Amino acid sequence: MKKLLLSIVTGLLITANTHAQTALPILNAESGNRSLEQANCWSFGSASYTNATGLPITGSWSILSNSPSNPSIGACWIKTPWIKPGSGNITLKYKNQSSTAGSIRRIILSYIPHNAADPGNIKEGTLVRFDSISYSSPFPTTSQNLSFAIPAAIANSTVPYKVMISLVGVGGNSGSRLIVDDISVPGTYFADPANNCLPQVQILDKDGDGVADNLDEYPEDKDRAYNVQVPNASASTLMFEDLWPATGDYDFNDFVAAYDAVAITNADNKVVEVKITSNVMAIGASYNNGFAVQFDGLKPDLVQSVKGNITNNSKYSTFNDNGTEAGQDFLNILVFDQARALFPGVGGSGINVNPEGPFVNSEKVTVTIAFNTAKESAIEIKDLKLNPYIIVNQNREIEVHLPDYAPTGLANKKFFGTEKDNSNFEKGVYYKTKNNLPFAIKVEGLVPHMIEKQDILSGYPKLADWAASEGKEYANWYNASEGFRQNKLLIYLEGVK
Amino acid sequence: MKLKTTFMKNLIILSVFALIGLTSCKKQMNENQDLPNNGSSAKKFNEIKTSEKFDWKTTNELTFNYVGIPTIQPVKTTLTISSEDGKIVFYAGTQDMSSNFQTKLVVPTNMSNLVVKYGAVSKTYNTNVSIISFDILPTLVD
Repeated sequence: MKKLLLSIVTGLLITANTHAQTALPILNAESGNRSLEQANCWSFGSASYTNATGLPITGSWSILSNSPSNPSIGACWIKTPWIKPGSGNITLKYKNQSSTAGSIRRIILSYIPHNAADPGNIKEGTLVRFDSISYSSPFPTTSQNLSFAIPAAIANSTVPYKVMISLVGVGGNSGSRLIVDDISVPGTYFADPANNCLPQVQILDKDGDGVADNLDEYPEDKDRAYNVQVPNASASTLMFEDLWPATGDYDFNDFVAAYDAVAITNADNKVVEVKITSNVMAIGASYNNGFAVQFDGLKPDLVQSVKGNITNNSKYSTFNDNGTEAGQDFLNILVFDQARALFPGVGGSGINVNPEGPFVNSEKVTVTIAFNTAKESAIEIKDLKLNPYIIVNQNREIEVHLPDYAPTGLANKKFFGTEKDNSNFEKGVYYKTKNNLPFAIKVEGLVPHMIEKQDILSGYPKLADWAASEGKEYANWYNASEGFRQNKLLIYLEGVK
Repeated sequence: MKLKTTFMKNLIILSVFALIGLTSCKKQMNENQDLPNNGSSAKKFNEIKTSEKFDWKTTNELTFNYVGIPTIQPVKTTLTISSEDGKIVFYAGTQDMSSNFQTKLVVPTNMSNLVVKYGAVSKTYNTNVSIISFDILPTLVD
């Protein structure tokens, strides 16, 4: 009894991804594109489609054999997808291109069983020939309706078969080919075009969300299916100068952080959660900056909850009930409010910027932002446009963003256009100097940062060439290729390459 | 006479060294000439001259198109777009085989290839393009 109950429960947990029962449609070649049929698991051996004048039997297209010079069953053929054969007759229309050229024209019907043990990709068993019709010259050049009974051995089968129709002959030339059309094979379509056209199989889907367990990152959670890198937020290194709107020493180490954002989506491709992970790698100045991310264009009320951020009862930000920052038009998440608080017990102005060390690891912060997935408010990956920034020295009015990323609604606009900042809101130009120089840089991957007071070009000399060429030269300026880095001026923390 | 011969010998040796030296210099000069004149003269960050159009991004944006094809019965499976080693997944989602789909991909400039998988179909694309179009149509062989 216990075993019976267990098997019932297991049966409920494992939902078969059943396919609809669809009759195999008639093959009439009217798509004009044989590859469309092949994608649906028909296959063709030396048979093509033709719409040449006078050749189609019905409609605009028919199926044309090769020049018949070989009576072998494999010389020219059409195979159905895997089907569960029904009963009745296989029918098709046939005519020959010419009545006299050649000596024999033959249409041969065979079936092919499935053989899972076949070492090849197509898993076909041994072909069984079951019917044929032969013509000798003169061949019919008008349409013939042919009919072949499905053999009892496969009629109404519960296992898959293919039916193969061979179009062969002896003698003649390219002007005396066989033409067939409107091939009808009674049976239920049983191929899987997404799986090498093999027979359909029951797919394990424990959570029943429609995503097979082997493709589901969360096979036992119906609300989650995929992990996707958020666009423009792949694991990267953010490097900031924090004296904006003034420029500094351009060592880009005033605030350095590893940054990554991954979205978790459900089987309907709606974003369920975004996880932002960050840890501070260096603080090369005296300021105590905060780190935040704006989701450009998204409203704060799309979020259900925010967990994992470190706000220390922030003095400069207030929060909505759902954990998003209050007073913002767009969704803003304060990842942490004080970078220095992530290095408990570490004093001094500079952290991890002295080549002599000591080197310390910051607390890693992972923020989980849960989104509403109700139909009317659900968002997709394409809606995620992340805009990371720092809040300078606990002053909520001063933010520094990556170049051409807009400030949030809480940044005080009075600072823009002052000192070295040359932002132009009308043109969408933000956080750049008159010479188009940025105040922050984002680099893909975890890369070493500069030691204190060393201009970034001294550590990454190819950066100048990259910028001067507008990104055309040395696009990999930050890589560890020979001549790309001055390692004695760079600090490699754990995990940095 | 002996003195003249010795002088000639020295002259020849000197000429050979001079020729080698000149050839070396010429090669060096040519190598220098081959370097792109791309502003590498900047030694400090604030000396960099760049166009105002330059966006400082270390990523490229690509458009990805999944081209749907009519199917005999509904077919849905997972479409994934990833780095070649599969470690970075730029997109993953359930895709109806017969529906078109478009998305933007933001790919690091130091990544040269992307792998697109749909069911058992897998294709590799170079990222040095602005549009990737993917379909599962087989290549016809006559």
